Amino acid sequence: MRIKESEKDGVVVLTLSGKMMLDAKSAGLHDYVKDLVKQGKTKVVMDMGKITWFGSTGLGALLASYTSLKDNDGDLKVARATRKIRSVFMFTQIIKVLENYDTVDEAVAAIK
Amino acid sequence: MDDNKTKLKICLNSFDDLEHIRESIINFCRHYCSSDEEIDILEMAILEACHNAVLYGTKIKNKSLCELELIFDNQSIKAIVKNYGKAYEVLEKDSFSIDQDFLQYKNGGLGIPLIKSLMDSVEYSRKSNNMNELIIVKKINNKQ
Repeated sequence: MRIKESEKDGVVVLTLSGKMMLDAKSAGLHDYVKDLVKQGKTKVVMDMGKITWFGSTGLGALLASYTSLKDNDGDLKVARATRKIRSVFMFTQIIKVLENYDTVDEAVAAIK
Repeated sequence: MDDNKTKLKICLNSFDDLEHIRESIINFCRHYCSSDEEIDILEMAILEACHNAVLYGTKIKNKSLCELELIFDNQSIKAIVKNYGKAYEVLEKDSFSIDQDFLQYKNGGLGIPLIKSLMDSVEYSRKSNNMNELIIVKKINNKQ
């Protein structure tokens, strides 16, 4: 999995791509977010439109990131999640805590 | 094979094989499931089980690292995942819930809880020769 960081209206946008499954980079997503928190950046949007494979390791890192941001008065929104990811979010009720938006701009507007 | 009980057996020997079986799982489920969501959920759970089996499995001479059997039986799809090696810690883990502390999953450990929450039943048995057998079942809205 690759992580590309950018910023829009004071919100960090992490564009994730590739396989979000069992590899060091997927598990490292949480460490990446913790580093953002240390820098005082606690509002994050994850663009998941280019994720080709989504496994439990990626989901665990995503949920841990959500908790770390919330614990520091921040928030995490998801943008452009694929149909498969949305199905899992719906079925497991993750959608109740981790909202998905059709576009990055909508997610950024919601978190500002 | 009769229509009421259809089987598909696939052998895996590496992570690369997961990519190949993904399409087979989707095609098998698409034949019976009436919604994309059902197919997505089954694909995720079955691949997760196979992924874990390959990751923690031990190669035994003349055996595949992991063996997957898909069975459609009346209104259910059953996946039987076999591997050799370390025993699973399946029964000790609860299903995934949004009320849990998510930080416990920061370095993994979500596989079995996720499978439990996605499927209707998860049964694990330890066989002779260090063989693990995981049977996961989901009732579906059969489109036929």
